[in-house]
Amino acid sequence: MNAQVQLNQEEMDAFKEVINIGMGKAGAALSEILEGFVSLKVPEVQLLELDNLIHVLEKSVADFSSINMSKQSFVDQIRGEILFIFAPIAYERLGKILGFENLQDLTANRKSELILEISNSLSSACLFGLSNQLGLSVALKPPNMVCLEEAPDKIKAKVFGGKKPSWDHTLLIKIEFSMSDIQFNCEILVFVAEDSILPLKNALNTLLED
Amino acid sequence: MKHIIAEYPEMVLNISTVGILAVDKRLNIILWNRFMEIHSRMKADEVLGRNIFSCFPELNRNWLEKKLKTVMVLKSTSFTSWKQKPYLFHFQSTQPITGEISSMYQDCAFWVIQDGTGLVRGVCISVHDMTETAVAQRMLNQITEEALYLEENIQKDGLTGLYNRAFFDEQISQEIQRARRYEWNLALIMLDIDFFKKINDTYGHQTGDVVLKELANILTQIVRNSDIVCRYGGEEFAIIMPQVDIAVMPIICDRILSGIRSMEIPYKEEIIKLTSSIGYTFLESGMVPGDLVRQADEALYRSKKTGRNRFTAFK
Repeated sequence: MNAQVQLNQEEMDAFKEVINIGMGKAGAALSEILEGFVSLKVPEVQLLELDNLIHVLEKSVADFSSINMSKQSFVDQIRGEILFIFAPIAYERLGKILGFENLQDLTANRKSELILEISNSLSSACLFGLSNQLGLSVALKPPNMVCLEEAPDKIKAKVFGGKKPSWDHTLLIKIEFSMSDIQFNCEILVFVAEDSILPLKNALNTLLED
Repeated sequence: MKHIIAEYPEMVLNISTVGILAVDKRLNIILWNRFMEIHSRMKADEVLGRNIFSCFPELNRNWLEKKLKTVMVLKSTSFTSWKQKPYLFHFQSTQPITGEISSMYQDCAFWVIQDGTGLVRGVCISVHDMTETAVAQRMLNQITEEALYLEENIQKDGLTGLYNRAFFDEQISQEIQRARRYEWNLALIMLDIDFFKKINDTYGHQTGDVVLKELANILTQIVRNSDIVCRYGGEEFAIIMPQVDIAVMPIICDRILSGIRSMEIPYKEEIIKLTSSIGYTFLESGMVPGDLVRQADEALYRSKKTGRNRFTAFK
């Protein structure tokens, strides 16, 4: 494997430390805007190849009979994409927290709107938590739906739309988010693009030197 | 407040293709560009310094307040898309002459304004006119729908609404494969109206068409939803029956024959009655689609030979 995309043990430890601090800040901000107790856990940080990624996705959706997924890109000094996988959602309760009205009339569009709204808040919190710690600037693009209430099969086709990805490696930060008050759970998969791993390593080494 | 506005270059204010506005932490408007003036019909003088909800009471307050607060707390960016929410501000469409849509579709972005020390000052909002895209998407949806309709109709017989011969030929191969994969039975019925040529000659082709349509109705009512009824040609019909119990085939055939016998086609003062003949067979190992059709046809021929108005199983 190309050494430029590899994180050595020291770098990986520093990265996990950065993530933990970042998630602490993200959690505090999210519980302020969502007005409730939130939990953010980071069970996995790892460098992945495409096949492993598909495996990670399949594992993430395996327990559900129906899934919702959205995605959001980030750009600037580090770039990549965030994939959200939602367990079945109590839309009324989530909608109330987000200030939505007329929740009895839940069309597919309204459900998507809610999912994209919470996706955006989650990616804002998690990403800026990270980028601030690393001293790297990042900007978010608008979120998009991947699928709404679909069977959890053909996950590769859903995510890649039948196209063959043009990269070999990606750095995955897997975040588990939950709000127990409204039984809301989601998995946030942050994928750092291959060409952003080196800038990330450099930022980590700057931190390590200080 | 004035000094915040002064920080923005004049050109942002003069942009007429994208709406740019900003609110401070108390949600008072502190920036209002040319686009916003044109489409809201409110001059900057009229809105600056005023609360956004008092200027635009139609805005969804609960939701937007929450969104603006989120952007300020997370110090981030947020969005709305015309796909889910057609618009933020209710502006007239920009196509008053050629367009059929009355209000402007919008994509909006919200991002935090911080001063040099990182202190949050408010939220900037951009408003993009997405009407052209929305119209194009609407046309695309319409074309997709029409294509689906055409695709469905290319498989159907125009007169009876049953599947046509081309569809039958394709489907019979698929059903054979399915039956083999899942190891279930597959039966094929061929049915022919007795003396149909005489009906056409005596009562005319229009009446013949009525007979065919009525018979198609009867067949679809009698068979199961999973059975595939096709107009095989002229007055010949084929029914593909997956997962069928061999023992019930005589009962089904009887029901079809008596259903057709009880048909009453009015012609002037007369009532036309008719009968039909059936031949059927089952899929066995080693058979190809042609074998199935040939065997059912042979059985049908025997029904005709032995007096019509009856069914025969291939032996």
